[in-house]
Amino acid sequence: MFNFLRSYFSNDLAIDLGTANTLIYARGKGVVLDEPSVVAIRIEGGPNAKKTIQAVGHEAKLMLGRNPKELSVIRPLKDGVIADFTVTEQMLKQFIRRVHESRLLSPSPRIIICVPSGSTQVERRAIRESALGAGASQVYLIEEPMAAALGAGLPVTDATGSMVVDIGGGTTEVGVISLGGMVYANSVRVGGDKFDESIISYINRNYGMQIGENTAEHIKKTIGSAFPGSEVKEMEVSGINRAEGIPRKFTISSNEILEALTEPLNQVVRAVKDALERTPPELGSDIAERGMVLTGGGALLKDLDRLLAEETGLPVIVADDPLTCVARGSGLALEKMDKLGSIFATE
Amino acid sequence: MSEGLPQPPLTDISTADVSAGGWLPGAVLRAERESRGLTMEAVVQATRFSVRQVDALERDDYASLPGMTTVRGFVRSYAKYLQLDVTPLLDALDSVAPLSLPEVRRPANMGEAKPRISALRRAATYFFVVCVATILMLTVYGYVIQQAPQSMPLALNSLQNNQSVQVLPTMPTDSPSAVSAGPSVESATLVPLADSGSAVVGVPATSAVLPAAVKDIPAGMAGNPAVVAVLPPVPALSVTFDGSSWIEARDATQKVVLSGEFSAGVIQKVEGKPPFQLWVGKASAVRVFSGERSIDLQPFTRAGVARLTVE
Repeated sequence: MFNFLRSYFSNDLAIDLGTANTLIYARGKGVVLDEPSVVAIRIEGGPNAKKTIQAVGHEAKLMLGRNPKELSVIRPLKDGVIADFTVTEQMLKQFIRRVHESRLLSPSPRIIICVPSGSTQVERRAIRESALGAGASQVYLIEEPMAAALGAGLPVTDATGSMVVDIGGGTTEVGVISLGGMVYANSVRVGGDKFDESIISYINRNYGMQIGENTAEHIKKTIGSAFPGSEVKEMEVSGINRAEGIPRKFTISSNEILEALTEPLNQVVRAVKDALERTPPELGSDIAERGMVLTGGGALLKDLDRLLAEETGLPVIVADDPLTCVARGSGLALEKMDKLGSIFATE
Repeated sequence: MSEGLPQPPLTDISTADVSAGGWLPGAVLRAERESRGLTMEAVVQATRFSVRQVDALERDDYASLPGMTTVRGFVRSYAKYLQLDVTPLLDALDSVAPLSLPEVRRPANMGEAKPRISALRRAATYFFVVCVATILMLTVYGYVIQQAPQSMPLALNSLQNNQSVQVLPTMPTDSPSAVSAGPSVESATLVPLADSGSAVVGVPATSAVLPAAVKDIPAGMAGNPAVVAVLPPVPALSVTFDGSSWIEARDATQKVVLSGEFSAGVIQKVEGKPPFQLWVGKASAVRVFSGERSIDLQPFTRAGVARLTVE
């Protein structure tokens, strides 16, 4: 009865709680926050020993790998699910506070939050609880492939098959959607983080150099590629030489990064092929006609679409602004939430 | 991971005039492909869209392509293959055929469905509940008010504001004006009680005189309980019931000397050490006599309950 009043005072939110980045979509405003899912916690000793949050988001990410002993920089999500419940809750609380003004007449926001399609009930419960603890009045869950498809503009409610591959920081979600439901959904725990780990491991193994996560991510974004191209790029990187224990600079090429990324990329390709194998023939022909859509930060890896096109023989298209697809898709569901109230449930 | 795709020459073609010139993306892509001497099959090989679809795109026949999301992705892939800047092409596409967001009808993965209740029905339910609650409250309130005169607890609660009746020397029964004038008036003067805020009212022996005496209550005390003065010696109090009513009487020691509910026709004596405090549940059905004199309960009655002290 009072929903129309609530809409005047409250700012309902859709959250893409990702392993790498957290995005928040506010009703009527669009994506209002895009911050890394990183929290810096200061641990104080002495008689008043306590833990306080020093920074979250971009500020905390800058501290990653540069922190002293008493400052713990944590990524509270791993493989798309919550690894540290308390820190996740605090991080969400901080993010929500940034985008949701706390006023006397402002009720707590209702929140739509994304969960990996392969997450367990316990993992979903943890996400729901952390959002409630962060100040949500009600929490609705939406599976990431569905949100990604909505954000990419796919006709999810039509009687036609749409395939979406959302490559996030911790997971790769593959979903085949038709008539508003997921015909097939799979989630593999490979994503941007695994790409970074592979680069770190490759450089460690072949150059005897240690590099940090931020450096590995920078390499991936700069010269990373999923498919061999005619152009070979090079990049100068700094790391610690394991033998000497001294910082050194070295140069690495895009072909080497391609080699480093082979293993995690193969897992992504395998997940996509599995999905295609299990897709009903009618939907398969739709996908062959329409192609599959890449979303998520992983879609920005150079020539990943071409790799998947070569491996599957199907058209592969990259969605507009793939990084925010899931958040925008959740936001679309949020905008329609009041009209579609009956389809949401708190459990 | 094959590497055998034909690659176009690495020339940077400006498409800044795509929008300005009114060109459509498909026409630009076709012109660019032909200028580089590339065949349609090469594009098919690179993008994995069919020849029919490539041809449709180059003719800007978007209706025969599966949705604008696919068309945008197709243009992006095609432009990437030709190494063109895709932004002006997509802008031109937007101006011709903007991307419409899909209608969300039933994302079935959002949880179990609840039965849908229309807003109107919900509002009607709220309204009905509020009405029922209001009627219930009014009924309870009315019942309480109606039962108050016969309700002992209510009377006792009002006891805190009780009135005291001081019996002062008797005045001439046939001269009501003497209440406010004459030598005997002094003893019958209204004496405010310092602590209780109530007043001592000179009451003649007969009830007919009482209204005149009540008129002498100062305005500020008019709303306060009044005190009736009756002359001693005090004969025994008697209470005659003309109807069913309860009564409680206490003497100076606060001992309950009479208590209970009595029916019509009953006459009860009140004995003990004066002054007596009386609470009469239904004052209209009870007559109180001090000896032979009747005490009018009307001035001491509120909501049907009379509270007075007789000395």
